Amino acid sequence: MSKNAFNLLIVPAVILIVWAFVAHLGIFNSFLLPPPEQVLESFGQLIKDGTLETHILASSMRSLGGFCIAALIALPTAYICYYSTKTESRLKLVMEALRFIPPLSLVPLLILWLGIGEASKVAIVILASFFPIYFNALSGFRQIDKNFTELATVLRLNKKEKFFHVELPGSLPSVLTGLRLGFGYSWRALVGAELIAASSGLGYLIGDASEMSQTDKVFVGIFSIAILGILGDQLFVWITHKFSPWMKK
Amino acid sequence: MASGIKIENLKKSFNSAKGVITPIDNFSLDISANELTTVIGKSGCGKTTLLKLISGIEKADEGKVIFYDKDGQEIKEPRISYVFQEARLLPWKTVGQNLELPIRHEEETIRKKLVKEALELVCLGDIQDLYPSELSGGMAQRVGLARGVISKPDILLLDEPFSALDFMTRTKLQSDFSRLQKELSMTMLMITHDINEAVFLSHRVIYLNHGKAEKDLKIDVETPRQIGDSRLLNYQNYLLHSVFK
Repeated sequence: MSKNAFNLLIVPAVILIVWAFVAHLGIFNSFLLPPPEQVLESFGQLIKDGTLETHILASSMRSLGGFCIAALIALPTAYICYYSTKTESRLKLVMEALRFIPPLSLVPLLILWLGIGEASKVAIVILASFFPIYFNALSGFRQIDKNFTELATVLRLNKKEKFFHVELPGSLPSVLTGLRLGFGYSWRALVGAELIAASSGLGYLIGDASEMSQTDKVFVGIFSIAILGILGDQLFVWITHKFSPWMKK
Repeated sequence: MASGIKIENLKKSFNSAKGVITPIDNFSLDISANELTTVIGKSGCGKTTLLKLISGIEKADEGKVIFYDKDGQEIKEPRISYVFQEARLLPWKTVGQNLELPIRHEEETIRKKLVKEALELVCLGDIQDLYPSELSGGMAQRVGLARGVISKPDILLLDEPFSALDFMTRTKLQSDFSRLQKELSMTMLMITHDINEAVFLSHRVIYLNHGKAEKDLKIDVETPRQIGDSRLLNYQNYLLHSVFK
């Protein structure tokens, strides 16, 4: 095993061992703390009967859909505000106020307005991921080296060429950081919303299992969220390296 | 086609913490085609502002810059290239992609050929696929120079192109540039604070002081010049006395 893999796995391995040890000592009721093998068994069972796949798919579709809509609104808005300080100052107060409101606090209102269906959950995801994407993109555009915009003038780049040759790559690290943060936030807010009002998704799986006193399934839901979160985050790291190879050099 | 430059009553002011400063004030100059003219002067005397006004990076408050061909006819949109003090290569593009930017409207095969030729011109080998962060300071500056000449512009503006380099690299690049300048035959306007560099490379040296051309000196020594040419010493001394009188 390489040193990196060892460093990566040592703490989770210790937690797993302590968990198994404590669970088998019988200090806590297995209803409160099921042993790892019971959770693993539930994991297998939920995969086998397709329940986990259904819930993962439901959450992923909501998360991805809301996230894409948020990115499609936030990135052009940031670009417009980068060029128009007037637009930015007119939007500033609303943006600042909205970003401090936890999306979950809007769940009751969104259910009233949009109903209990998909729209309210997707709206939560949009609200959760919009602000990190918007603010990071705006900051990224503003951090483009002025020397490079001078170079664009000297090279007689038109607006489209300037965007693709200078502004987009120059702001890409910040834009990707914003997308990565936005994706994380959207996932967290979604699971919270599903816990409150949903009939499918990982949040619903956890809430339903909790009400049925099936703690092992609660753990399966929590671990699924963690694993999917790590996979999503790694996907962003890969995309960052793929589209900004100069950062590695 | 090389172009001459006629600068008429140029004025540019900036707002600063100390109030309004006017680095270029009622400045006029005629720069001949196919020559390398160098403007020298102390820091803050308006050298860089002058280049930015000619290139279009900055807009003049008053006056105008006219470009004309060998028959004296005005050229409305001359092709102007700019070599900056630092190489200013886009870090997200490879050397090849950086060099292709000024010739982006050409066909791909032509672009590849021109990139190869430009790199050979500045004595660099097959480095198209390297990123700027993988180059030394001297290599990066050569690439910056190659980007300046790749489109065969009418006018090449050089903003202290060798000042960020160490002595050895600077001397070698100056020597190479002297050869290049002969081969390229284009109108060049360089600014520098280095009198020796100005005399070594230029056909004409202008000493800019308080926004005015205080001295205008023709260097009557054939190009390309050799390092240590004793005929250049008189010009250097004359300019030194003008600056420190």
